[in-house]
Amino acid sequence: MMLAGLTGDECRQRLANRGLLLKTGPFTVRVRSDIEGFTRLLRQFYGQFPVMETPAVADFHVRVLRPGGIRRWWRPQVQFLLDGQSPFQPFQLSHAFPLFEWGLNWGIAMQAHQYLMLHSAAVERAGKVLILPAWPGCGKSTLCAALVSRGWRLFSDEFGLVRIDDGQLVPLPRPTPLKNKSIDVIRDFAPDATIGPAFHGTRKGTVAHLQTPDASAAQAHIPALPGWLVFPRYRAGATLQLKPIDKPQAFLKLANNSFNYRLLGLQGFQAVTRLVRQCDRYILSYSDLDEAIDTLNQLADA
Amino acid sequence: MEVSQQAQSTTGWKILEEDALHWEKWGEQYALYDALSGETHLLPEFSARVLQQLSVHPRTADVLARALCEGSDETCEQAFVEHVSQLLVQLQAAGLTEKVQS
Repeated sequence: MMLAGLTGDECRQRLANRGLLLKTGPFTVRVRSDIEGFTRLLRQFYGQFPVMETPAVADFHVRVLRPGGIRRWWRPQVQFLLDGQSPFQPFQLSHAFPLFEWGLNWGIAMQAHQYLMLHSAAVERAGKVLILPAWPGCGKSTLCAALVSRGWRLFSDEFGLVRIDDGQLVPLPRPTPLKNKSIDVIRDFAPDATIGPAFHGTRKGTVAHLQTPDASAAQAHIPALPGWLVFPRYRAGATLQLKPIDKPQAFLKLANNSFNYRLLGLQGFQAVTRLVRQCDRYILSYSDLDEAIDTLNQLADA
Repeated sequence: MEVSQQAQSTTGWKILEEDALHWEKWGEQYALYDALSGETHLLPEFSARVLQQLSVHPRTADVLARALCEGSDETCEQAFVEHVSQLLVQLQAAGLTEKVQS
């Protein structure tokens, strides 16, 4: 059953009691909360994702709750708990949904070491995955959102999850957090895309989430082999350039980009070298999204 | 100047643990993962050849230089031995080689 198949009351009941078991990519997340605004957005953004029936083993146990004390009435806040621990300071109550998204990302980055985890967007076309590794500020999320709005399948905006045993990328499609100027950029670029409410004053400025396309959510169980490694660099006014890079350079950039390369030891080395062998490798400098997407489409269709 | 027997050092060099080294070759560059230290190194081909020679058995810089010169038409000059010696020290600093007394 999909989350959208539950009524609002059923969803609220599960969240408030034993927890809602939400399947997102390879992970099952037990979510508990009694915050109405959060519940509404969870239903909106994860409506097309499966919910599991209890008993089921969850990978992550998440609570999104209002802390007690005077803060309950005066400047109310929201707290994120993962496996009973609170890794972050509370956020203002209205930021419960972005807190959940960031908290779950943090939990995955800290725990999912059965994968090589790249800090990258990943999208698929014609059976091969385009990996877009980048640290914040390089335009990764905007480019990813634009590609998905032009028909690429969303694997993830945040994680390149590489299976250690066979090198396949595993989808983890979730809402894409657009930040600041990129919110309006994507509104203009993809007027039909569903973008949620804007959360102002977060640590990353204003954030609004882009809905995962139904087709991407429906194929969240289908992995694919990597085809291209493209390191994006957004620069205002930059002329588009797709510059090939050699394997040693790609290896260094990818190893440094990974959340857990060092932790995985030899497995990490073997996974990164295999990725470098398997993929065509480029640095993409761009400022115009249409040009960038045309170039990447041509790359995929070649 | 050719290397004289007198010039040979008694200081030998070895790699720390051959089984711990995992290689990936890309043209004239190598990625090397050292499972003992958890460190990854990008090495030019010459450094890789030095380490691979040491994996056969420990050698002094002189003997190592001669081995590297084998098959070459050029003579093994003292300057080349010095170059190999310096490289061995750099590889030691990177945790890939260590001295042994021969």
